[in-house]
Amino acid sequence: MRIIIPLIVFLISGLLGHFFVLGGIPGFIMGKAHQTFEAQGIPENQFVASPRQTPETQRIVRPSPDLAYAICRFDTTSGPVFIDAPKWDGYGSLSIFNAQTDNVFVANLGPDSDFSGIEVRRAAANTREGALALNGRGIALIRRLAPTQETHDLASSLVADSRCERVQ
Amino acid sequence: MQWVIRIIVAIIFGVNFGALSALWLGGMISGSPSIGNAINVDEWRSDWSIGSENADPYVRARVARNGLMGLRKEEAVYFLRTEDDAGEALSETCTYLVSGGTFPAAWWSITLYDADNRLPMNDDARLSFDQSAADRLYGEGGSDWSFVVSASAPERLETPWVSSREGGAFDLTLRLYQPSSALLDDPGATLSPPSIERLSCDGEAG
Repeated sequence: MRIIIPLIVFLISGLLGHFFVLGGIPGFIMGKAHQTFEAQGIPENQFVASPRQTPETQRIVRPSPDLAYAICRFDTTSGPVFIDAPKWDGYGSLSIFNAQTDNVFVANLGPDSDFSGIEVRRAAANTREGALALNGRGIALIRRLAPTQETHDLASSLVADSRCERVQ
Repeated sequence: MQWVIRIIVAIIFGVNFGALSALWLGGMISGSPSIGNAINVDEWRSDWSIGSENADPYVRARVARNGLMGLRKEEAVYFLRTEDDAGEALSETCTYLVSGGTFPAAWWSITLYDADNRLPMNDDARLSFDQSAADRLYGEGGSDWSFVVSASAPERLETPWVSSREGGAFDLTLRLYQPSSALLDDPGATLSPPSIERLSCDGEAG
């Protein structure tokens, strides 16, 4: 008994510590990503084009240098957000990630796309058909195939026509 | 009193052991498991649960650390390779020939990353090879392409090249965007992944 009870306590403590830390990793890293983007001057509720991905400009792990990225940070706590982006003549997508890093939504932005935007709401307030339920902070990310500086510049210019704004 | 001390020590050691094992298995410690190994096609490894709400906590943590904002499988799949065809770890000190054909996806790219999941810190502007390059260099459809991976430019300047300079012990990531449903259903039978042939290493003849 002198050994068995401390051993049982050790195992239970280990399991609790293990799953507490493991479960906290995605939220912690996504929180750090929000902080990093904020420190880099990316405001909430606005798409911002990322510079062409090079060793010097990379902001996140494993960026694709062949893609043009645009990022919007948003938070549904104080109201729904409407997100939309124009089509692209090549591979393109608009994806939404929740605070746990899950890819909860993705839309094709390619030439055949019929995407016309999506409203993102808190789960408790999500009574509107077609709206996406997401609590708290999220990130919307546009990817467009743009392997040259010219196509990257063109993709970046579309940010002006993209929407990531609070619904009044 | 000894009882209390034993229990407290057991809790301290237990919590620390549990936390450290979580950091290791969650990919937070250098050298710990990569994003996912559930799918293995000729040593190109992937996991279909990347980006999914159904991913287990280990994959989810590794993706957060090593591939933040990865897309779910219906939009893109990611295959990672850390060794050549002979089973040796990929290294900046060696030169490789990467060869392949078409893939069951709308678009693809192969990108080199260092052990810290970054593009290698060089200014060679040779970071990846993609379908656009294959189409341009080998004809539309790019059914039979190859490129060299090395730390310096090939002697024949027209040879397609991806730079491993400052890449150290690197990996290659194959991205397949909008993969076919056949690939998702049976990757082993559907995907013909690229080969990675080691041509030479520093200090080796020829």
